[in-house]
Amino acid sequence: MAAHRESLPDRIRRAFRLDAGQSRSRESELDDEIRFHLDQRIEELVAHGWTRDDAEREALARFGPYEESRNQLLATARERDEVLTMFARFDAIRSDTRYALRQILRSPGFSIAITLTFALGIGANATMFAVIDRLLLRPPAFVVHPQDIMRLAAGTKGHAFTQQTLNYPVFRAIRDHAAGLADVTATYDATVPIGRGQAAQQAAGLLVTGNYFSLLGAKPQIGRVFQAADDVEPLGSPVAVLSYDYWQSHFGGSDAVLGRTLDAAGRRFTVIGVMPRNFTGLDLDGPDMWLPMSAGAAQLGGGSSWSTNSSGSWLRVYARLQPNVPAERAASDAMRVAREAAVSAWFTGKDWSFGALPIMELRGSSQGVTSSVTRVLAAMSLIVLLVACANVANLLLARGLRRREEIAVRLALGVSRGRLLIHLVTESALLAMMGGVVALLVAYLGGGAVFKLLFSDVNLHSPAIDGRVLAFTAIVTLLTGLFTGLLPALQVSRLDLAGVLKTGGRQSGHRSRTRTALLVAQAAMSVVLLFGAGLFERSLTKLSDMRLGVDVDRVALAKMSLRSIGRPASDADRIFSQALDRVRAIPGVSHAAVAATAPFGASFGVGIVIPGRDSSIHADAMYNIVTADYFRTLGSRILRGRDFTDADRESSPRVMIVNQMWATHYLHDANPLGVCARILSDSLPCAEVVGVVENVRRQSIFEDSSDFVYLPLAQAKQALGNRELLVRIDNGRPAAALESVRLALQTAAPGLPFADVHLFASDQTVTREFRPFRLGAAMFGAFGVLALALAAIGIYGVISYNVGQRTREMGVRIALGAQRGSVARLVMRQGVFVTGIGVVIGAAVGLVGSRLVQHLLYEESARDPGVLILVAAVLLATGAIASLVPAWRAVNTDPVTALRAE
Amino acid sequence: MAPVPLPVLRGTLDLLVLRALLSRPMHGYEITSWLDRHGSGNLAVLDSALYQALYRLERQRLIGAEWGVTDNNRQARYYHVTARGRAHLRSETESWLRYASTVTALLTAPLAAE
Repeated sequence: MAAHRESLPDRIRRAFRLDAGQSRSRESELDDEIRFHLDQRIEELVAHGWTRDDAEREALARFGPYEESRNQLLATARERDEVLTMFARFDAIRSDTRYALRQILRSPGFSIAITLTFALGIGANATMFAVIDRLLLRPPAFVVHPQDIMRLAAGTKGHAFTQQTLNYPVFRAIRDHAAGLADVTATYDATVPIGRGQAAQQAAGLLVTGNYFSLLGAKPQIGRVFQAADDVEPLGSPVAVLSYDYWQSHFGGSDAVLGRTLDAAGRRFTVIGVMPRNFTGLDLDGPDMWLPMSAGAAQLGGGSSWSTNSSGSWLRVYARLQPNVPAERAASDAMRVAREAAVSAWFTGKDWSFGALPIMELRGSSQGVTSSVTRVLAAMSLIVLLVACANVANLLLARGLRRREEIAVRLALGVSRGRLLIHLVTESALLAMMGGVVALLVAYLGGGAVFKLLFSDVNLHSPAIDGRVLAFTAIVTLLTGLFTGLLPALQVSRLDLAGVLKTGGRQSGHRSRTRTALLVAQAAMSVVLLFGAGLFERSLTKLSDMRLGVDVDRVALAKMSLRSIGRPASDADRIFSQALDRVRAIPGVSHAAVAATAPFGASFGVGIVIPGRDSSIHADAMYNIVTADYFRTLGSRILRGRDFTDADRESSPRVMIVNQMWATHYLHDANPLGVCARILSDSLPCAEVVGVVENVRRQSIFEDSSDFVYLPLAQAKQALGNRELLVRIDNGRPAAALESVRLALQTAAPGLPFADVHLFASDQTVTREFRPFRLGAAMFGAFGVLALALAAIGIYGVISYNVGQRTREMGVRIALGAQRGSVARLVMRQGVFVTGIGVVIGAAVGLVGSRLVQHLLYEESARDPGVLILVAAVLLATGAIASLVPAWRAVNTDPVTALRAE
Repeated sequence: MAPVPLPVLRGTLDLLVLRALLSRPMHGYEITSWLDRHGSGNLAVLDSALYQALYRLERQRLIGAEWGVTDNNRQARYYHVTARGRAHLRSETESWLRYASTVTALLTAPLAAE
């Protein structure tokens, strides 16, 4: 029978040998329990007079069919253990959390310090993420397959994007004939005057071709979007699609908006649809309304010959690629058809090519500089987080050391080290979570500030913090908490039990080294951040000192739409000359001028021939027609010769002023003054070059200069129909003067719609191009200051802790007659020394890493020694100042108290 | 001759086990003895079914278990009722009694009254 007793479970155990780990012990536990049960039964039966054999048979019979029952029991037991394990884990987490919370509440000051440190570190990252998410990660809303949409622009060899806008004939040729492109659309940003007179307002409009919405794949919230039939040249249908925000603010979000009309730019536009909330088209910020190209182009865009004029450039052109057609091939296809159509000599010549840039790369900037800067900033915010982590780790270490005795006792009482580790990490994770919550506040304020300061032209449409930022913050918080808690926890749980209990928990050298290393790392990272901040700051300064040929902060551009009040173009010059007189009388306005176009506006090309003895030179250029005072108004320098004057009248000899680029390009080093060139018409006498002006920016801040010539407005009135007013404000606040200018214009002619007056500095092109540098300088600066503050706190914490640990030593030194000055120096030296090592390491890392940002700096060496020296000095000073208080405390150690305390 | 033992419904066995453990922690065999003794041998329960009930109750956290030592020094798994188990037993007993009395009343209703 003994054999039977053992063989049963053994046989079954063998059958289940595949089960590993816990299931094996569960199985043997089950067998033990059954065995015990059967034994009890048998014993009782035997006691009642059964034979042992009968008793065994009976016991098994009462148990039930053995193998089947055992298998069922095993299955139930497995299920049971799974559930119980889960609950056990849950209970453990709960009790760990409760324990950690008690610890946190026990030292509120310490907990607040850590929470705030976490909050700043995590907050910086959450803020950065909010910005990056908007600028780079998030595709434009409601646009189908945005990765297939490209911006088409023309460039000469080696300069892919010299000509960012195209004209309508070229666009039409590409749209109708290019094979690699599924569809092509063109847009033009226009300020749309709404209403008239005093009640007039302006709205941000986007003129779009009829296929714009279908190319994007965007559907309206209510009503309908444009169709090809709405955009038939030359007049189109006066219909409008509104943005959600404009619909809400001007029509109360009512469905009755459909069919209402808007008095816009002199036509009555009927509202046919409203786009969904957050739809902004392809840009970061959308307009208030969309108008069909042909319905508004004459008034708002390219003038009356907008659809045929091939000498201008004003349209942004976007294309959707055919599936499986590479962008380069599509672009070269487009160039081929544009050339074949022969609609425009300009930018379809043999040197020219089209470039296709994915809109995802262009968002938020003209050349993707913003995205590079933003990426660097993201890396920097990570460094801030690391600094914060180092700081918290240091604080936790210090506290861990203070709790050594408590922990030693717990270990001695049999708490496992694993459990202890979990407790300590839970505590730091909880602190990180509290930090994470505060970080959201930081991100909310910080994100708001960043967008307000640097992206004022971008309407957020939704708060800075959304689900994505929340999720990001949660993940970062969790990782930070675990990461930060682990090092101190490992240190503490590796505690030498007996040693601590014996010495009463005094400092040992090893832990101090870890803390010093963390401190050095912190100082080093601060150097890197401050170095970056310095470079970007210098770069921004140089950038704002850059000569653009236009004083963007002083000069305003004013536009008024005369055609909309039914005045013929011939009236324009009379009205503008009246307006000029009124504007000049405004206090603060020093100069004013009228021109056909202005920097960062539309460009017009013209054929020029310089008659020569043997053969004449073709010297084509962009051109503008301007009144006297134009260059004085802009602040452009006349390099040679003279400016236009009021004496350059229609009847006087024809003159022209050329830019330096043109002079160098076509005349090389010959004196351009006195050269006579045929321009605009072969039948007219040639125009004499009377002056050379510096190269003035034409379409963007960062561009290759173009050949450019200027003609007196009086001598070329017919050449270009458009008129714009330029105003220079030299005294006082520009904002106040701008409003006076606007009023003066609006009352220049009865019924004139809203006049758009703005400084060049606030022009979209200019803000977009300056943005990456402003962003870099501002954020690097903020991160640098943050890191510096954290480093200062860290140094202070460590040094003062060390002083506290060495109270006895200090006491002895002073008792032995050490000068107080030498004690202070001892402490200070420690702080400065630690910082110094950090500075050296940080400088090395900074010099290597700065190469990565060189291309983002404007005329600033990424190894500027001046910046580095300044940063080093600032950091060493910080180290010294942070050690002042501990030094003072050391000096004032009372030897008697210090020695008695032991 | 003893009456034919009654089959025990699954949910009922759970209740009886809880009731048995109410007085003190017991191991499995003690519970079978308790059932025999208090049920006057009327209940037909296979011993393996009892253990099924015990594991099930454990999973529901109505009872807990730990290994202990018996009077004659053998290792045995002892079960005890948890607070949850007590509450569960209370409410289940209540509804059992109501059910039983209702069924009893119906079954024993005098024929004349109909």
